[in-house]
Amino acid sequence: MAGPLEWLTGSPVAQALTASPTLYIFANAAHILSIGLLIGAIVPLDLRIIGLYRRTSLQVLGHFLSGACIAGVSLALSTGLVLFTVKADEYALNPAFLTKMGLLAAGLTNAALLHGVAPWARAPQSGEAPLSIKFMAGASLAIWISALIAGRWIGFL
Amino acid sequence: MRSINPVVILASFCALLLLSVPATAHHGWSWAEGETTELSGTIQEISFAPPHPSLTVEADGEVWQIDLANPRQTQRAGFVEGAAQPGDHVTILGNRSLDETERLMKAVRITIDGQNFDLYPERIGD
Repeated sequence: MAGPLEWLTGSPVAQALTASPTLYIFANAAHILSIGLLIGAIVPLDLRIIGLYRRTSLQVLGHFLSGACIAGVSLALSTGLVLFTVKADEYALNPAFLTKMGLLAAGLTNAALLHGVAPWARAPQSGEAPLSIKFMAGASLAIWISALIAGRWIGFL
Repeated sequence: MRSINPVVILASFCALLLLSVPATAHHGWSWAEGETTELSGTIQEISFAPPHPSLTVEADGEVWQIDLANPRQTQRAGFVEGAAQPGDHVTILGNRSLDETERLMKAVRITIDGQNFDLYPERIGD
């Protein structure tokens, strides 16, 4: 069961990050940058869907910010996997890490569902999203901010 | 009716995040005793993995976690891959966790086979 985790911890990526603290700093910074991009895009997007910033078109913001979210989350996942390798077996047992992965799954599912019925795709001329969509945007805010906190928590257990 | 300024909402989120960060951490020394103590035992495991290299040490039938300095400081102290092996006898000078039920210590100096590795030279009085 611990096979793939042990393989990751022994992988050249993990060895390089362990041998060079400088490399680890860059990998860590890249992860923070990706999360910054994701949160920085999803917070204004969700707030716009909920009903703030009404003077800015949802169609314009929706396409632009959801693209930034996808870039941010993709980069966060890949840099996160790189960081995970250094202590794969330990992280896999860390309750904060597991909570973060659960929230990540919830956030991605919510985002995929929301994107499927995206108000900017469905009602581009309307400035107002339906209540159900607003609810999903609220859930998105709560999930991603919780994921951020759970992520920060990993090192404090 | 004017809605709440979005800037206020964003600022509130940021404030909330800052407040949510737990105050206790393995960073700094506030979680550990002010006095240094010595612990001797046998190294079970050595981890150089960032962000916090650590040792697992068996002493008097108990298993201790010994936090070393950050990866760069630990390298600078000369404690690098190959400097010690599991099974080696080690003496640790460091600060114990304030929580006495925790077998956790933040090392200031570790000594293996007569060789000192000073992780925090500025904290060593002698």
